Amino acid sequence: MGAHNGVTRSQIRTAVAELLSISVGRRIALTESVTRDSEPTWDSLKHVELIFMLEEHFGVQFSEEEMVALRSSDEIVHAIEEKSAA
Amino acid sequence: MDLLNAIDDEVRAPSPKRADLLRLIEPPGLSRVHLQVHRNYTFELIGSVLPPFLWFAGLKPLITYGAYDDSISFTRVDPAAVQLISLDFERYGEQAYSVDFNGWFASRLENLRDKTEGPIVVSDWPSEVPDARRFNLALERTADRLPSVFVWEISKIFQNMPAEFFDERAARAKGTRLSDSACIELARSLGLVRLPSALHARIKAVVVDLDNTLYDGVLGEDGVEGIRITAQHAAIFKELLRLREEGVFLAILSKNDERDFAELCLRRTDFLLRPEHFSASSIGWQTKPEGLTRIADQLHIAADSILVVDDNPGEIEQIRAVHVNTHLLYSRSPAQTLFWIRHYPALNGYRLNSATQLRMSDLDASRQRDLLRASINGTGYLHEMRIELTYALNPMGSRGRLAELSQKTNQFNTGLRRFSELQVARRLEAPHHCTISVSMRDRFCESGIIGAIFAELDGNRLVIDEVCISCRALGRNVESPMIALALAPVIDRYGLRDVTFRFREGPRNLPARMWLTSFTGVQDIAKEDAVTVAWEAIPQCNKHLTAPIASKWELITG
Repeated sequence: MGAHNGVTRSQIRTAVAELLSISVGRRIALTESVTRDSEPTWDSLKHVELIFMLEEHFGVQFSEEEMVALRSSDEIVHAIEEKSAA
Repeated sequence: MDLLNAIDDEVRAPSPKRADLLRLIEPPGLSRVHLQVHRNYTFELIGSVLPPFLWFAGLKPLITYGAYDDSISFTRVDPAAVQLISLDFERYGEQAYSVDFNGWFASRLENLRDKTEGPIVVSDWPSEVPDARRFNLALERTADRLPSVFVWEISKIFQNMPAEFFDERAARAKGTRLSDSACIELARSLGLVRLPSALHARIKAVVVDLDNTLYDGVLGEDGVEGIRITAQHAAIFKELLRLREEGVFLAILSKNDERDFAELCLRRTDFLLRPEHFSASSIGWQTKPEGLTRIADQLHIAADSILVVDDNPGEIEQIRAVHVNTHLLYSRSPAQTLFWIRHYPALNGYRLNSATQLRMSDLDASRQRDLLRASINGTGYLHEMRIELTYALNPMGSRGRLAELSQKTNQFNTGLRRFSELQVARRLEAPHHCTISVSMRDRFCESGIIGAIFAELDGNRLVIDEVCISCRALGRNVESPMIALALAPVIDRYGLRDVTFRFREGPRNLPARMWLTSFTGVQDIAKEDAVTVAWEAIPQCNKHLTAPIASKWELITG
């Protein structure tokens, strides 16, 4: 359970699950690992919306390359952890 | 509306958050509106957050998108849908800076206008470059020329947030240069102001409470010097005065002592509103629903075309119980009131027309007419009124006003047809159709176009689909002469014999039914009917045609 800039991994996981739930239109459990390939409604538009919401929520910014590279909930949590720690 | 109160905070937040908007729960009872979007960028990022804003206008959008199309070819359009064109003009490069581009874009709008029936909303060019400003001016002119085409001035939103409007970072991945905050602001302006004003008739009056609405405090308890007028209250006053300038009536509905209000106006120079700014008032101890009925009567308008602003939720509910369709704004703070006066659906975003400025003076004049009527009877009254009617046949330049009359008139309309501006324009050009506008002035004021007759020729009869007369012109006993003087030259010109009035009963058009019975002599008119009479057999036709009213024709075409 690492802590970065006052945000714990658990808090990041919770927020990502909640924002991802809004994006894909179904409840994503905290323990659930979701990928773009496994989630049919996680299309490119929903992905951009998710990025907007993550940036707003965590006060971070993703580059174009990062935006394209993020393809799962685990990768998103990891990327936010890294940005928060920076 | 309770659900809407619950989401009020998210919708009017200084910077609404996408996640907050997407979490909101849709209220029941909304009307579906189909919005067909033609775009060359990811408008979906605006469209996805549009619904919560449109809910306040009672609308639930069904948004459909075609392929990204710089050429805006409009290959597949739903003729009944609202068409929205929103383009990133920077994608056209140097081409967009040429005069030819303006002409090309205007021709595309004309093409879409020919293909569809519904309103067309087109966004302008958000940029500081002079060419963009020139393009936007040309676009305004094109929209003025084409019926039911409305410019969505996103350039103004750009001016309010120039640094945050674009976010070039990851533009390729997003499919747009717009920032998230710009997308949300655009959705807010489209949903609360631009689309409702393209789809709905304008609210005619804003009726305000006094205590804790136009100032902080209670006038009767705190006294004139004790109430507090903040900068936000001052901004509310300015917005109300702007609305008044645009032809929206202001009125006061307050449980207070009228003398206290007079003293407030006299002694507090920071209370910018003056008694003469209010076209009606109900200040006293009657219930709010009773007071609202009185105000609607004074203004000659229906309560459902009024927005009431009040800080008391109990009184809001009392009004709702009696006047179910009145627009109600529960004023919880000056900031909230200010936001909604600027953004309330169907209150802002309208084009001004010739009738707008005439509305206020006409209401004042109606009080003088009442005094005159009380002192003189019958034709003496008509003589003294010195009424002048001006008719125009198929006046294309007045199509907006004719559509407004058709859509807004509720008391004196025979056919209950609701013609859009586009439908009016098509009737004006169609063979065998004649549309007559009636303008009126009397010794007290100029009323502008107050009547419209929509008719078509069918063999040797004139079929009148609709006669509508503004409530501002009623009560002068001129309806029969006005309509007879309009029809006689048409009957004459085309050698017609009969006149058929189409009639449809509505909730409030009893005055039109009574007039039709009296004018035609036909007693048993069904709820939906076509009343045919020989022109020569119309009772008292000659009397109508020789009434002491001056009349002239200023435009005859077709």
